[in-house]
Amino acid sequence: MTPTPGAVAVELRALRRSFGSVVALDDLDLDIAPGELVALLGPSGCGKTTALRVLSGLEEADSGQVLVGGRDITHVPPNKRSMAMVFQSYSLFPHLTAAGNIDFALSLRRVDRARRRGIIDHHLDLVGLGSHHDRFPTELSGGQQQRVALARALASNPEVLLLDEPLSALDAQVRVQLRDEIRRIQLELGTTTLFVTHDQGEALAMADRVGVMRAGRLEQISAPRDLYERPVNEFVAQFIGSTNRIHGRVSAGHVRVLGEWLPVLPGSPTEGAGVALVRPERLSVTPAVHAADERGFEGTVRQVSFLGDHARVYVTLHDDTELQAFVHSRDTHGLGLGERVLVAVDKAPVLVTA
Amino acid sequence: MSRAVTRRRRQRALRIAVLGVVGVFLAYPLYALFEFSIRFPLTGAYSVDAWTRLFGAGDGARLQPLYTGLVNSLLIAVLTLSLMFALLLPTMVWVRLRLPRLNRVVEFLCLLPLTLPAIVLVVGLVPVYRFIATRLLDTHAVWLSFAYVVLVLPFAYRALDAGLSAIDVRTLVAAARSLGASWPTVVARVLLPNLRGAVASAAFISIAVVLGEFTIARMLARENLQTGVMLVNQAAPQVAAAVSLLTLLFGIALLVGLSYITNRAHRRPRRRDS
Repeated sequence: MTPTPGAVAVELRALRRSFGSVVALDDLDLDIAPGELVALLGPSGCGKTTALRVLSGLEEADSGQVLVGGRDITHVPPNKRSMAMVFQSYSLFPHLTAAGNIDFALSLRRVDRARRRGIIDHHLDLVGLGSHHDRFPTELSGGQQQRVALARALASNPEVLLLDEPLSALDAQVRVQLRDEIRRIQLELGTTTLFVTHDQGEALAMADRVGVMRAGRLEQISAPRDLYERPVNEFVAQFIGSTNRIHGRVSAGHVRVLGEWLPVLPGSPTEGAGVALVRPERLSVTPAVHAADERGFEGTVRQVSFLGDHARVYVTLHDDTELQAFVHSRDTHGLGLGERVLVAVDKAPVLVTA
Repeated sequence: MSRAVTRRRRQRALRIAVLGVVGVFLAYPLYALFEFSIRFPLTGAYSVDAWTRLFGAGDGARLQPLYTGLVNSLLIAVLTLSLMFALLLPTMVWVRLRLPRLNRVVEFLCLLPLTLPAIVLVVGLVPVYRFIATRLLDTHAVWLSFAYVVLVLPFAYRALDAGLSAIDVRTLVAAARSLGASWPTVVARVLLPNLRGAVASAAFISIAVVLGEFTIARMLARENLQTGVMLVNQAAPQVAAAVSLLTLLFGIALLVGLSYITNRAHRRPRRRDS
């Protein structure tokens, strides 16, 4: 990624934060490059929102350091941090119009009154609400409110943009649309951004890198494809996407699964029995009748879930191993309930657990 | 004529009848007070003498306790409101933001004065005020505001609590802080504008309580509007009636104003679906 001019790097160093006996952040380390969009993903209570709030200054860390552009801002109050945040719940000030909300942010940054109108127009146009200057929050839909909140955050020209599950209150269609818009705008402006979400689809689609958290620690942070295809441990593999657990034997850096030798990923045992974590799209399922000469293990279709462009096919092998595979919708003929099928696996690297 | 129309008309008539009865019930004492202020009790002759004495300059000496009481009550009201808001609003906001578990405790403490009769409060306040008068300040009536802050707490708490519950305080404060707002800016430019109705309610109800308070002032031998009315009542009962009527009308005007402001606050456009 090419660094954006003027963008700053963010470093979280050994951050700890506890709430009573609950450890929300457990020596968390995170680096965000200038202009990069990093998403933090994880189950509820994993500490992702706490990390965001500590970075914003709304929460104080018990120990550790927060550095932005090389400056230590650990003890700087939130209003002096040059950050802006978009929240999960609607955070527009109800007594101000869309333009008034943005003007509020600009006045706090001491932007000259004469310049404000132009900046407000520009940012409302940027989020596609150029004609909504005088609307109060109650006159805007949820998606529009979040757009204005984004415009307000960006108008203050923050060094770091913080997004705390800004799409979760929206319906599916608006969510996808706004997700793409946020990414477009972020790329356009090059603002260093930390995005917290529990929706892995959002994280994978928007972020330059995705961090998966568990119990206050970062389990893995990688580019979306790496995270998906090369998980470092079972938790990440299970948390991102779906996996099949198939017993196999590891030998010389390969694991024998469904009659094939698959290369194993780092972090897997080097020898002996193990469980290979295989993605459903790495399995192919074909009707046994038409595939007498094809490779594969025989099984029976237990369930088929039609999901539009593809179907999720559940198969039980003869040794009672339960598998699920993604099959393109056009290839589902002959994969009815109880049909005999052949299951084969791609020779892609897999993670093996002991 | 359809049955629905008939039913609506009956309901309207019933509503008017009920409102009429309640109106008469509330308005008749005011009318009686007004009549007492303009009708000489012994002869039955009507005269606006009490009202001219009240607003004229000729009877100044006899009405002095009234003027002193009125000025004192207004000063007490100003100080009570200032103290009450300075104490209650930051506390309630802070508890909501940082100590939500203490919400019940604060509520209990604020509502406690409702359960204590004023006369019981006075028993506890006498030594406190003796200390205030001799060691800290003096015997001026304006210091009654310390006691009145306690008296108005339940009403003010309820009004502010309703206002704070209607907005997402945590998110609004966090949003403002992250945009660069200091705490005074958050309060002045984010919280107060969204609590206008609640603050007005708390203020109006508190003013009504302060202007109508008699027991504590009388028992602590301080002069306020109500003790002034009582003193004038002994020498010029018709003037006292006129003052009481004006005080009541002022209270009603405050409540009508409160209702108007509250209605305006609630008359915001509805949210559209996302």
